[in-house]
Amino acid sequence: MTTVICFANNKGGSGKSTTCANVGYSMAAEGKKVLLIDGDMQMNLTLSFFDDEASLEMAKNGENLYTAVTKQRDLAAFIKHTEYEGLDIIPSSTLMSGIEFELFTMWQRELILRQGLKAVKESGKYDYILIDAPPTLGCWVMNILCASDFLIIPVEASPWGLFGLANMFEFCEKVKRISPDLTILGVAVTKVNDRKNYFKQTIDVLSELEQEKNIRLFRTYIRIDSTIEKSQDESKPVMAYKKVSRAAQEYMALAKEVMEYAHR
Amino acid sequence: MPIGKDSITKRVIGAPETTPAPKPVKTTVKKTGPKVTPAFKEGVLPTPTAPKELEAETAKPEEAVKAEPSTAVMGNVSPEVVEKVTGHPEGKGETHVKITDDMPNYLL
Repeated sequence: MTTVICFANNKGGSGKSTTCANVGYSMAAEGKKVLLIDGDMQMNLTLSFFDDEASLEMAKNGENLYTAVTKQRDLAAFIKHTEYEGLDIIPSSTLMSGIEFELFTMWQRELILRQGLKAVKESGKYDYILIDAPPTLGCWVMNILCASDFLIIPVEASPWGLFGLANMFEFCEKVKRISPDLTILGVAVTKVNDRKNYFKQTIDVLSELEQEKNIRLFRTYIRIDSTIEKSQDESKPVMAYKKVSRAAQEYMALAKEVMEYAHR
Repeated sequence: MPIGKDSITKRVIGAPETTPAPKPVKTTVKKTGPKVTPAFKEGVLPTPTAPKELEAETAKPEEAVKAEPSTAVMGNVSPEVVEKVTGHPEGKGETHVKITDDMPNYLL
């Protein structure tokens, strides 16, 4: 059975794409079949596996998510293999910046992605489908949430990070009117400097949220690590770039938590 | 006031439930022990441990707030909207739909 998990937060720079790429890679390294879907016009998830030249070529030639969604095609035709065993991706395009306008006139416009993903999901070819969402709260992100079984919210330990998190929860309440089965799998804290007091304050607040609202705080948090930027520069997941790095180990631990909890 | 903490405690924790909880009502526990600041090591948060003394109290069952059924009617709407709202193809041909609480905002 295929489980669909999206990574979303309307706060930019919260680590959605990096977490999606590295959790996906870690799952594949554990022997799972994983499909990544890049839903962000910034193409950062695509750039985690292909260099800029190859990414921009796919963005231009129509072999991307934008074409699949706007033409309402089966997403299976847009899957690309990465160089890693068990890890495929549907790349994005800079054209995704206009997706809101394209969706506007479509019938059942919140459900276009769910429909396009239906055959892939039902085929059972993948254990997990991970979707990277853009930092917005519009109809396209609603599409991503409606196509997902679970939502993971990466959040930076900062005041604005928590403010954005509150916005995200309010948005989720609206999405649940259309997709009541959507479950918030948890909040993952990223870009952590655990020497800072604000990190401890953030954990206190999120622990209270976990107790009061039953919203999981993942036990693994991702600390700042220059290996992450270096791996991005090489278009590689951090584990493929440097398996023994601290960041690689943390993403693997997070992926194991995700796999433990993400089932119906 | 701290923006970060307030955003969560007031807008999320303090927010009223707008959708029915998917899980059955749980028993909550009331802490009587002092709050312990956890230690953070190696990118992993400590697993929460139960306080020494717990006073179990059954949460009040969610009061079934039965909203008054809406009697408002929206007229002069397209058959496609009627079909979408009613969920039935036979909605086609109608030009009026009843306004309900779960109707998407953009339809209103």
